Amino acid sequence: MPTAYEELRIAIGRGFYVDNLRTIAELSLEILEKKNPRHPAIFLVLASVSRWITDAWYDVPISAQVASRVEGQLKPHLEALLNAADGDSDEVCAALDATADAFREAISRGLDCDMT
Amino acid sequence: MTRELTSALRSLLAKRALIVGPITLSNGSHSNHYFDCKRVTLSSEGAGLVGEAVLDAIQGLPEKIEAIGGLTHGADPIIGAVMMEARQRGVSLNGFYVRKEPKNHGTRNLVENAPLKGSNVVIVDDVVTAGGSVLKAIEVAEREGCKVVAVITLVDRLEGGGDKIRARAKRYIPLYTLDDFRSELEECQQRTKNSELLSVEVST
Repeated sequence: MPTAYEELRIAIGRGFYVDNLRTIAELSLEILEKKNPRHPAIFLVLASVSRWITDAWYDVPISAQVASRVEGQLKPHLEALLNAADGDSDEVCAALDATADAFREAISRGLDCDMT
Repeated sequence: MTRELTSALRSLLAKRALIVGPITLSNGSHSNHYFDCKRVTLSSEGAGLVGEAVLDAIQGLPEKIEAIGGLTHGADPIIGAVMMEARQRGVSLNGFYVRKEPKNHGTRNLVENAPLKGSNVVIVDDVVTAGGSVLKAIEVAEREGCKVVAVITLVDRLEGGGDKIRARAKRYIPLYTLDDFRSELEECQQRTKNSELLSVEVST
């Protein structure tokens, strides 16, 4: 049976779409609440980022182009965050900062678009 | 549903809700079209037509229905529209909606205005693709002790969700399916093709 960490890694690997982003947020919160992670900030950020995009994409038409762009901007950073889960504080801090920068870039270009 | 109502609501859905273009759906699949039914259900004209059409379908059921509900947000404006139409017809009906997730760290309510146990209820939704929203609403309504006697949706995109709902619910009534919008889809796709050809000609 996969561990919560493995499940989360698999979920991030599946990519960015609403149902899966919700799963990523749920798994991240589960680890944060129940697994006593060494660096809880990682899981709070994973949950927040995926939740934020879920909210932006929920029940609205999302162009495949925008979905692909946002995934390209953020997915590698979410994977890097998870890879840093057992790292030292400097490594974690760098991964968190890089994720924040990528998120800032993603929201500056918009998380969705007008499909009219 | 009268022929005039069927035609008027179909036209409005085709004109306002149907979007053609590459879209990523919530289940991760891709499509070249999307129905944003809120553009219809949240308009005065659309709400009126939807209220009439859905209540007609409800009143055509053999059981007396006590409540209608569905998963937020798709179902919300439909429920409101049906409530208003029910009042105009002198029909007593309650509405409820099912949250996607329980309220965090509070009451953890999943259903707002939950019907009484044993109530006959109808689940409504705007669009069916994989059927997940409807199936979740059925599951929650049944867990609350309700009898789900029918599911009524505005548009079934014919991507398998309808079959899953049929397997789970006593009755499934999609007011329209993708087939009702084939002509508009073909027209849009042809227009896109023509503009692509034109842009190739201009660039060469």
